[in-house]
Amino acid sequence: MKCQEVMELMQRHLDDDLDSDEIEVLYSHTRQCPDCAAMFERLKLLSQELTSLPKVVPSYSLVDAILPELERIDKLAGRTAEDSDPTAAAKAAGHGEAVQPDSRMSRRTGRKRWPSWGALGGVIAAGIVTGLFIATYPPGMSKDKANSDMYTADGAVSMSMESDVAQKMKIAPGEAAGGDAPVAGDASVGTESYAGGGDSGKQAEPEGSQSSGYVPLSSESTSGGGAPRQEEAEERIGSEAWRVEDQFGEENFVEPTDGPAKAATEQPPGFLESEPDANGFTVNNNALGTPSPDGLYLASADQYSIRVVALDTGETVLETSRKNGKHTNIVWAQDSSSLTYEVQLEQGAIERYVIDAAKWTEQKAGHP
Amino acid sequence: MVEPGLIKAAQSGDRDALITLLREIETHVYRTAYYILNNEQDAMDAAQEALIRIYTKIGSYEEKAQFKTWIQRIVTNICIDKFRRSKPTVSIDEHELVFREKRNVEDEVMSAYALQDIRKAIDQLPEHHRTVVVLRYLQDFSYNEIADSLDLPLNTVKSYLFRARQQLQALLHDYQKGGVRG
Repeated sequence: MKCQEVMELMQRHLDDDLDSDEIEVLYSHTRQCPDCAAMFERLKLLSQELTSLPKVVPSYSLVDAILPELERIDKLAGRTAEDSDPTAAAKAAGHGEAVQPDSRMSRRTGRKRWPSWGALGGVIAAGIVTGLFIATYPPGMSKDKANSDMYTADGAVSMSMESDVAQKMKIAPGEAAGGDAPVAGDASVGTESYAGGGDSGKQAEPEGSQSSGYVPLSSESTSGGGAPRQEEAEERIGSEAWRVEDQFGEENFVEPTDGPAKAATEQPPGFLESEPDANGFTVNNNALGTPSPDGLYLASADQYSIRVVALDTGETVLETSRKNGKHTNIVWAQDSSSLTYEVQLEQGAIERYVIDAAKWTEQKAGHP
Repeated sequence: MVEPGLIKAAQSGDRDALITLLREIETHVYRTAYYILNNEQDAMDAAQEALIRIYTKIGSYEEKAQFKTWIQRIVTNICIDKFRRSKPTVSIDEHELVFREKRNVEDEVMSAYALQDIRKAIDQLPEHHRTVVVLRYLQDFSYNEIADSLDLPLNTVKSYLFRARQQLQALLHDYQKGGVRG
């Protein structure tokens, strides 16, 4: 007989599971095999030690401790089980194997022994909310800031897209195409962050409520939970932006405010195919430039001058003289016959220039 | 351990009978929780939770099962849930268990293992192995009663128990020698 087989006999012998023949086999082997004999001794010793483990008793009466909770359960059951359905009482009191009794238990122990648990639960819930807020809001806030710093750039992105977006969306065209550039830019940023925050909130909610069910029971889960959840939320926001793009059509009908966010991600094709929008008016100071409504020219601002390029030949048809200020608000006339731009001088002063697209000459314009 | 009449009375809505029944079983419930969770406070929480669940679910107990295995199923489920939430699972490596350090067996001095070493060793066991050991030694359950309590096949119970004992003796052997494993 192999030692491995004898091992099973030894184990079963510890549980009084051998018949007399098996006992004989076991002992005849251990008489000849010192290794197995020693192992058998060790296992028997272990088994004795396990049998004599202290028979611990609770330090106070557990039933007394839970009596108030049991009364609460009875009251609850009494209300819901008036039709004398005995299972209704049990359902009302302890429906759900895993989660509900846990949270009920945690509330009970909270009242009985750790009075601060209830408050702590609230704090944790608030922390989760705050975490989500922190995780979702700053992108919006920082974009707002960036937007106010260079609102024309953001405005350009959304404005150059607007006709495109409006056509695709076939919804709320006034909102999409109307308004001036900075406002549209603001709206797009605002709604983008709102959409992200809202969605991530929705996704995080089940997780949050589940963990708050567990939270009061174990301090490990409370302290460990916060930070990863924030990171998850941030990741979710990141992926949210892509989801919006992937499901463009549907998302826009459900939530039209996602449109501008989409517009930003689709800017390059949008600006090339941009058609004259309702205002005949496009604003840009970004590197890609502002196309003329007839699609023949592209006007762009570098640091101190305006350059107009013919889109078919790539030739520069005009480069304006250097002016000492930031060139912004490049706007083509609706018929592409002229374009205007502004130069932001120091102390907030703005000079406005008009370029005649027929002669490629420019002159200073009065303020509108 | 609990009179069938008391269980019947409790099931029929006799609240006093149900409370009496809970008082009779609370120590058994606590003891299991104590040795599975290896922590008094966690054991108190788990045992109270188990008693409340027994209180609310007494109507669902059916006589075809033993009452003691029914209550142990409730408390072990709660403990394993708690255990999983608080500790990463340790997997048992079978190769470590098979007749390790055979050559040293003969040198073994058969002194009693220190209680705290046993507690520490039990704490090293994976949750199901530990639970089987607790039911076997603290509740004095048979293989079949353990299988009923944990809803496991009989052979699985035996396998868990045998492996647990092998691992325990290996761990205790190491502790006793004051050496590092391996």
